[in-house]
Amino acid sequence: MLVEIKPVTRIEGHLYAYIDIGEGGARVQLRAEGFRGFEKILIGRPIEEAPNIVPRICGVCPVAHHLASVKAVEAALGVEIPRASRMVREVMGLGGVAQSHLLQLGFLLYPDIEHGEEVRNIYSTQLFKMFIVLRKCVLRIVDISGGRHVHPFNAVPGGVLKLPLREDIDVMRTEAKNGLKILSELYGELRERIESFIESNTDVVYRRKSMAVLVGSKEIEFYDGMVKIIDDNNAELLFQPSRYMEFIVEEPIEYSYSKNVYITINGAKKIFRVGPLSRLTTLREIQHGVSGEFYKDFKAVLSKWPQHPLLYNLARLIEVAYCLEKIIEVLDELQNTPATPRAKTMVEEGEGIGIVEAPRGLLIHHYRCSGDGLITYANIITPTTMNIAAMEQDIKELVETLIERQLNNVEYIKKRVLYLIRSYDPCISCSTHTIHISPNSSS
Amino acid sequence: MTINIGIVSLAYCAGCEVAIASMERFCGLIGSGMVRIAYSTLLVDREELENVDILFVTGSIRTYEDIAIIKEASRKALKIVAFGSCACFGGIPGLANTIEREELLREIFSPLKPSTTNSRSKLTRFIVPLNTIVKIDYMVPGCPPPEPLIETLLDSLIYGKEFVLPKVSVCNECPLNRDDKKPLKKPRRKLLALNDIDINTCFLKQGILCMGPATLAGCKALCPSKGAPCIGCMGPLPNSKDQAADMIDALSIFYSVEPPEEILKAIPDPIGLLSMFTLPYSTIPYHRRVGGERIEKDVSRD
Ligand code: SF4
Ligand code: SF4
Ligand code: SF4
Repeated sequence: MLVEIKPVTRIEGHLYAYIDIGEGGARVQLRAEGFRGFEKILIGRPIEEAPNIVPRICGVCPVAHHLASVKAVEAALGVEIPRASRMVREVMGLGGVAQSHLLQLGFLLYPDIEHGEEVRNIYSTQLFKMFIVLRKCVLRIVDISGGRHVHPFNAVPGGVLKLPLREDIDVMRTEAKNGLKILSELYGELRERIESFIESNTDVVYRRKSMAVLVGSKEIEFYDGMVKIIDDNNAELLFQPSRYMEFIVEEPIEYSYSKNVYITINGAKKIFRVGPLSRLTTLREIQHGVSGEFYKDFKAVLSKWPQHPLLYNLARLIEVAYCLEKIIEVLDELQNTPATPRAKTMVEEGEGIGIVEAPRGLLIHHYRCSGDGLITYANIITPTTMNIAAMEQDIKELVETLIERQLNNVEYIKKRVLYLIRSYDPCISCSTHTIHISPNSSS
Repeated sequence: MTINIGIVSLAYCAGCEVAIASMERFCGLIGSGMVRIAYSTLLVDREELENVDILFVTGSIRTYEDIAIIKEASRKALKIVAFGSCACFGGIPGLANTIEREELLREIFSPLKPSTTNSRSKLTRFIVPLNTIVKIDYMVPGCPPPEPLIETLLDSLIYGKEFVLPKVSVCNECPLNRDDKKPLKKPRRKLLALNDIDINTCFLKQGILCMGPATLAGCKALCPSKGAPCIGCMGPLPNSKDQAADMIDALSIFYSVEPPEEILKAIPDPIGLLSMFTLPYSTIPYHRRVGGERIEKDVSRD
């Protein structure tokens, strides 16, 4: 039996799912379309333009690309940025994560958690309207800190172009507080819906997966730190971003243009997951008020269904609260930090790597430039590319379990696969910035 | 009456969709039933495009499949909007037009072997603007299209007002424009200029490349008013043949300095910097290296 989902809807990008169910089990192919070739486009461009060009890889998480890129440029040029500009970038980054999560929860996932009711027009529901207002609060924060929420431009090599003025800081703080208030009103109902959505999908038990996250000075570190890997046997590994090539491997697939991404730990090559679920699973506690409380709910659900991929959705909700609270904290600090927007930059030869936690997980930008500051090499690994192998493995397990239980109605299988894929919130434009994915990893 | 909108995305980043979906007014129109999204893989759960009143096309044309999709979709639409600079001019993915298709693939997939399967759709030799494939009714440029322009578009959809683009340049809307063109500093590269940039003074006057004079207004000079030089995302002015050529004109007004090599040092990558969003639309014969390709236009709507 062949189950084809063409296209996968309510996700970003063009993705087709092919599931071939036979005697030996299910073979899964996630095939992504939409080639643009950014790594090649960057060659020969002035290195300071990279942070302007790469947000166009993805309009859902442009802030993450903007920041990973500018960090890679600074690593290549050997620049340390002033504290104030780092804080502005952190605010931008946190806002970028929150807006992307709200886009997924509101526009993409919401129809699935409407208690199965046939909702004709979700845009007319009260809950959705509140989503829109909440997201608008976050967008204003990104507009001020980043310049514009789709395709920000404020970060430049050395720092930021514009530091927010006192009034700007006040506006952002008010927006974050308002956002938090709306979120608290939404939370109870949303949590309940997401939990029952998860619960009605717990008839399938998924294999444990390895995880990779960024760790730094904050409970959840989005901007800068070391990469931590926890594998499926709980073995841990910590490394500097500059050493990513030793631990994160991209592998050619003989019969296609695709690359698969694995982590290597203790000599073994493993499929892994990145993103909100991995971030919240590897975390011990959140000290903050509201998100700290929410996190307790998350942990209760996590202990019931450890690592269940549909928990991604609940993790997103918790992270929105976390981001808003962190934004307020960083803004308070920014207000008392010397207002130096940029450090001095020079044109020189170099190589640099920038890693951030994007909404969907680790994002790596890696550039080299010549003595005249023109890019000679670029490599970009996005979180969706990292997650594709795990998604395929999960789909395989899901479909095989359903078949075993005689739940072999095609429409039903499709529906369950869509729930699973959407929970990962894949961003296909990210994953195909360079490549086409048609792996056959599950055989 | 409900206006049915279809959104077909080609090689895109979804920023155009995010930009419009982020507008409260747009969501309100859907909520009230004035507008219905009949198709969009991002926003709704429908596998096939049905007949629509208006079709938004986002993204650029990168594969033969894109061409087939757009020809097919255009037959189901009363009006077509090229939404965003990718659809209007090729956009940033169009920068790949100076690279041969085979080279593009080789470099990126090396050391991977080329595919032997045919599951992927084949790349066109280069990216072409949408209006060379089908007739379009409205162009809404920008990367992404700026909010004021989307507002005007919504007005025209709801109230039937004719949608018209501005006719002036970004400089006309720029708060840093003081009408005095006397340069304060010599032209120099952005990376170096960052060390002493003054975000409250016209960038061109400070010797920093700002695409304002050669770029269509409509964004209320978003970037310069927030401290960043314009990179030209709205594309050329009406009747312009080439945004890069217009910018070179503008530079010669600001900087009659000799020798011209000085300006080239300040603009180390003229193709990328002067045509960042419009290379496929440009008249500079960069295609010569890549080779030509004839793609049939669907003339049924002409
Ligand atoms: S025009 Fe810009 S925002 Fe729109 S799809 Fe292209 S790159 Fe994305
Ligand atoms: S050149 Fe740039 S900064 Fe100067 S007036 Fe024009 S848009 Fe504004
Ligand atoms: S100022 Fe220039 S780059 Fe910025 S939005 Fe306007 S046209 Fe685009």
